[in-house]
Amino acid sequence: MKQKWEKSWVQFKKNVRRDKALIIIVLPVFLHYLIFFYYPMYGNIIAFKNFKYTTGIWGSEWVGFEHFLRFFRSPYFTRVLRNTILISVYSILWGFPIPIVFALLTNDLRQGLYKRVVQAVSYIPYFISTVVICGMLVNFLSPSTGIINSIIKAFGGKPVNFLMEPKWFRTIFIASGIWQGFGWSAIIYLAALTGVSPELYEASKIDGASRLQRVLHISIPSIMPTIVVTFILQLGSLMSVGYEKLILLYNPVTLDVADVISSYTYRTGLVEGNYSFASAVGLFNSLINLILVFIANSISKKVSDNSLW
Amino acid sequence: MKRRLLSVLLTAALAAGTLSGCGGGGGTTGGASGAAAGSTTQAQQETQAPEQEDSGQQTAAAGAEASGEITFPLAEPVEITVATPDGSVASLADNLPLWQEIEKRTNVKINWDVTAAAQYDEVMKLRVSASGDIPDVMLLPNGLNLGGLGGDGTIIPLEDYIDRYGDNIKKMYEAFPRVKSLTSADGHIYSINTVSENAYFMPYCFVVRKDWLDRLGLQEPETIDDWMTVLRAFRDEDADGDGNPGNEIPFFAGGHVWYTTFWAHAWGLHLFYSDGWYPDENGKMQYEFISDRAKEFFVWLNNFYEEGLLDPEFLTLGDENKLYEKAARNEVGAFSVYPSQIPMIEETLHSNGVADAKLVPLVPPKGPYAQMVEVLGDMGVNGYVVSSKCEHPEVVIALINYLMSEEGTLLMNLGVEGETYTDNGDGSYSLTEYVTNNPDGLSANEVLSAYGCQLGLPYIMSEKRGAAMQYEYDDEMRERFVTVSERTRPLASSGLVLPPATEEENEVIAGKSGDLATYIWEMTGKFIVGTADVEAEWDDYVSRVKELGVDDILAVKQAQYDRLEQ
Repeated sequence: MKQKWEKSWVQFKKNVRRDKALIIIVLPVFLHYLIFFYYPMYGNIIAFKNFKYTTGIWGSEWVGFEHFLRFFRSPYFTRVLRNTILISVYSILWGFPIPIVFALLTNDLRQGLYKRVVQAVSYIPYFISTVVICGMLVNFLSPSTGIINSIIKAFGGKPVNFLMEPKWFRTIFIASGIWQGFGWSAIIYLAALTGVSPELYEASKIDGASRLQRVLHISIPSIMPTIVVTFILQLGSLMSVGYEKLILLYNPVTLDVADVISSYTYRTGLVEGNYSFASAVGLFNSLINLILVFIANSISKKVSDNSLW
Repeated sequence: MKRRLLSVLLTAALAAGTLSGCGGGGGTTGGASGAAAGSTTQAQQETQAPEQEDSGQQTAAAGAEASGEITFPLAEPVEITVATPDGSVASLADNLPLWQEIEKRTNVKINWDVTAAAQYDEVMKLRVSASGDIPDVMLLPNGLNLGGLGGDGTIIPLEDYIDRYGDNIKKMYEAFPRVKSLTSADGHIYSINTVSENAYFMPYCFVVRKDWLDRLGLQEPETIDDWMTVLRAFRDEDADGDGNPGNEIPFFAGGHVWYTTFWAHAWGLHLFYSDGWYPDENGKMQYEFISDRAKEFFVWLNNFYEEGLLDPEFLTLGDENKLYEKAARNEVGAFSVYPSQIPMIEETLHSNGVADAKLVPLVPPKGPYAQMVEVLGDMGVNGYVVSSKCEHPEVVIALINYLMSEEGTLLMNLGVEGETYTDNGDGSYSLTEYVTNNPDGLSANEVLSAYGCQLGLPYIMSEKRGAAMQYEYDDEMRERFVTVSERTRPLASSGLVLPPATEEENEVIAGKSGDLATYIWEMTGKFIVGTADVEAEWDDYVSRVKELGVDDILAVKQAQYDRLEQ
């Protein structure tokens, strides 16, 4: 027994010595996850406690599921849940295919300045801060001086106060999100496309395949695993619509369609200092997201052989 | 909540402007009360023996303490650590000139433990909760309460120290009687606040373009009806004189629903600063947002919007800067603003080529029920607390007492004599050329802030600073401010600031007040724009407010109010 243990310890030391460089490379990432993702999970227990500053995380009293129940019973529960899901689903519906199409299109461009410029231009908006994006939206959509309404007026239309119309809210929110993110999201598909062997394309060209056929039968099947994995991951954030952009864009009149779980939690949890409540809602969201990922993953495994694990 | 954020920003603006202050912020995050109320509350005079745990710790000033006096400069230097929001222009940690001077005069060395003002509450709350420990002296962050920290012995009661070493602090209590109950819990005084003599000088007010009025031959509006006439004229006629009668915005309200409630004063409602929580004449707390007057007010406001007198962008333009932009683009006829901003907006208008632009502050209009205005900022909600681990609490109190003396008040408000101000000999003070015409291009407020004025520890915001700051106004403007100020002062009442809630009370309110605030915010917006009809939906609205627990919150507010009046 002892010998066996010693043997494996020797083996382990040998492995460490051999893979020194690799271990050092992976260490920062490992620590990053440990410190910033695993360690904070400990704080989740305040979702089941009445967290008080004075007593700290351990010292606060246990209250079980009280905060979860408070969230479910809140007069705003159904509204924020509905809005969260609608915004997420629409975002995926419209936002998911666009980077793929964009990647396929750019991939067919010849290497050169034009392609590089197109790519750079497409992902620059990703680096603009949300506050600036929202400032731009407010200015562009302004009924008096906004560029959109100037165009409408030039064609003889009546100016629309976009940000005060509940029916426009989701469109504005999602469309601006897509504009900001599609270039960035396309990078992963472009990377996948560069991995496709050029021989396949050459062979199909010789066989007389058209451009469209090449895309349909070579490009898309080759990046299918990437598409599936990205899709599963996106489902994993279905319940987490970020509040930053929403609270910058919504106002009392559009709150009916704009208030989501995170913005609600931000107001009643963080601003009011009810950290236990905020954690409970966060934990509930994560749980739903996890379940969705599991479901999507197993479906995908059955249907297409592609899966996260 | 956005509204709270705004009020914090506004108060900061208030501090930075009219009052005098630099954006120290933290000291004035909030409310008011006191001076105008005129109630000479005899707050609890607890004269307990000094706490056992403290008596052994006094070392440096022990000799002086026996005689009940601490004389500055101290014989031996004393170091204390102070946690406070940092200055926005220069960091206290850089040993600013004013604090060097104070150290020289007192021999108290302060180690500044500073956090950017905007993050202060959040950061300090987390730090205190993580370590259970606070620096010697700390500005109480929003969200922590005196009763809690005092109850578990993290901070110490100050009344005995104030009794012995706090002559000037006691004088301050006489001038601002309410501040004492605001800083007390469980019968002890736990904190000392910054107070402002200056809050009543020129509160937030309506402002109108005098040149537009003159062009249309109109008088300055005195009543709500006058206002309607004036704003309708702005809407229909060519007030800016460019030949197009259709490009004037009659009235703009700052970018948030909250600003529109400034009109509610004319209905005798306290929605603007007190959030609708206000006692009636019998001392019973009311939620004015569901009162009959509020209904009438919302009907009026809805009409105001429908008539096109209120800029349709009033909900979407985020913050007050948009107001300044709009006003400076010569688009807006009237708005509400801190009077200290008037010269800035006027100057921008002039440099934008509107040579005759003239903005004038107005007396609050007389409405159907009242002519009044609430005033915010005559005292900070949160004060400075002293840790039980502080080795020299007596020195801390003596130091604050010094800062509230005449000499200290001059230092804290105007800086160092000869460097930033000069004594005119007639009780008034002038800022030096270095401040008013700074070689680095800083504004006067910025120069004083960079010196360390109005930062760090509690002090009295002095009218002398407000007076010295008026150097930038021409004689006409100064005179105008004085007349409007004199007429406004009798109409001003202080926004209600309640003493901190106890932990049990906080548990009752938790969650409820947030949901209620969201609902009120949403419905006020909808009533104004007309997506909810006031007449038809009023009963639903009132019963929904009840469902959201308004009665529970009222009970807590009542208890807090009773403590205030004790």
